[in-house]
Amino acid sequence: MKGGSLKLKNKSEKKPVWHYKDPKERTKSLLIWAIGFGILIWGSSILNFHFARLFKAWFPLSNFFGRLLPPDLSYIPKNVIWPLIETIQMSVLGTILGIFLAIPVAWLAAYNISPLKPFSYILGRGITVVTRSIHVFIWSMILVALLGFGPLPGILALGIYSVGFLGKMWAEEIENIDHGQVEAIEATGANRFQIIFYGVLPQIFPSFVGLSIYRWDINLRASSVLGMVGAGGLGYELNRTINLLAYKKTASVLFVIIIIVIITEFLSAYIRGKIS
Amino acid sequence: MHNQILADNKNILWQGKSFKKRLIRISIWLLLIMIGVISAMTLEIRWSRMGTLATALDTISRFWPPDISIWAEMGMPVLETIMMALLGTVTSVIISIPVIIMAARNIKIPFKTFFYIVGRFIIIISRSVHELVWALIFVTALGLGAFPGVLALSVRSIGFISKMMAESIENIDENQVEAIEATGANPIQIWIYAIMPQIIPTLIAVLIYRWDVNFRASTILGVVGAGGVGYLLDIAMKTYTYGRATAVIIVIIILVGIGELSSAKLRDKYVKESERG
Repeated sequence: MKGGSLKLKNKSEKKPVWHYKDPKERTKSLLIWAIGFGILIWGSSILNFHFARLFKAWFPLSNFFGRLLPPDLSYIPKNVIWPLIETIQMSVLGTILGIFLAIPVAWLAAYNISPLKPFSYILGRGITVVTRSIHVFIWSMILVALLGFGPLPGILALGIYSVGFLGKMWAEEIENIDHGQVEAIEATGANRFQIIFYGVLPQIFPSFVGLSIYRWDINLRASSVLGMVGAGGLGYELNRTINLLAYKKTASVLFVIIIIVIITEFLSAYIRGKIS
Repeated sequence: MHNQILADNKNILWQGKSFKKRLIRISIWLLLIMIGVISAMTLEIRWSRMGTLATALDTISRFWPPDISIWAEMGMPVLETIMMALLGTVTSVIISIPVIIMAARNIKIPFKTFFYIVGRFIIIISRSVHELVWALIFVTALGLGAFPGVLALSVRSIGFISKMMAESIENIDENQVEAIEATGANPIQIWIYAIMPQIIPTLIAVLIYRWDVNFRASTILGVVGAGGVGYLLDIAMKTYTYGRATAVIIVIIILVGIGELSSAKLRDKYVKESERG
């Protein structure tokens, strides 16, 4: 043993538990750090991002936040309540749409129950990958272009974007079920759908509900800002008040968004805690 | 009772639901269905403004074929997107340090209760405002460009990073701190040799995760004017050059795919390695 390593040894393996880095390892880690710093410095020069600018930004920022405060709360009952309700409706309906669309996708994408393998499996996985890799904002920009302004494109965008997440998570949940229960149902002579209904569904039901609620939480966050690209809800009001330079009204909209997001986060955590 | 299956004489293996439980369950389902139905019924959709199926199909057809001539001018925006995610994550860690110190219960500083509340408040506000809203705020205050985008990503990430790191510091093994203390180490040495080695695995995992999230976000921040490929997408959509929009979306999908793959790879390499000890 060389001078560098301490005599801490695991009895089962004959490897040292801890040892000093030898020169080769040390140069390697130094090199990685140097490259990392190099990339950061290069990046900040590209983006014109440096600390002098960060300090200079202090004045316009404090000026802006000064004009945000205090929020104009009288704006809320007249102009924020309906967008708020629309936001909640969009998140609920988007999640419901996502759930209905994701059930067949999860069925296809779970390897152990997928019919017509491997074609259907690839199809199911493909759908989850494609819907997930296009951001919900891009979906709603496309759908607003197709269907015009309003909550409908927002709902569709939320639904489509949720399919990827829900389908993937449920499929993984289905793949990890206890196979003994499925065999027990099979042994009674049940057909394919009875097996899924009595052998698979009861096992995944809690996580099915938990993930749906979690997704609703995420969708509410998204739907509170989707209006910025014209898809209805609070985001539209946010964009409008900023464009009118009515910052105190913007602050009241922001205030409502923060409150509703905190409430949903708390609610979803509470319900998920109760289920599991 | 008749609706029980007993494993032996004492332990209940399976029990049918009691009337009360069933009632609660049914009423929860009814409530959920009612929320859905009411939302659907009261939603204001102006079908008259929407145009016909033919116009929608016509619009779809204009998204194809993608106008790939735009790829020639996308080099810089792509680079900008990647760098925005990277710098946003790193800056966020630096800004998070004081927040972590305030929000971790076992770090002793003067006026702890006051600073603890401030720290938790910062975490909540940072987490509950969407990155696009942060970007809109910073663009309004500081003007267009990647600089407000970096700020938006870093401010949005503070909440998550500080929350995870504060929890990780709260859960450290005190024995290791005591052991280093017993050697006569000063507070800085205690930080370096007893606390840092315990929280660095969490830090690496949090960084990789947050970088992945920020990378996805940075592709669309341009929609509100904060730089990157999203800006090109916004311009293409607003000028009705949908072929160009499709070309930009293809690039975004490829970028997000690469980001996801590389973060998975990094996670495999570093997170598991550090968990092994």
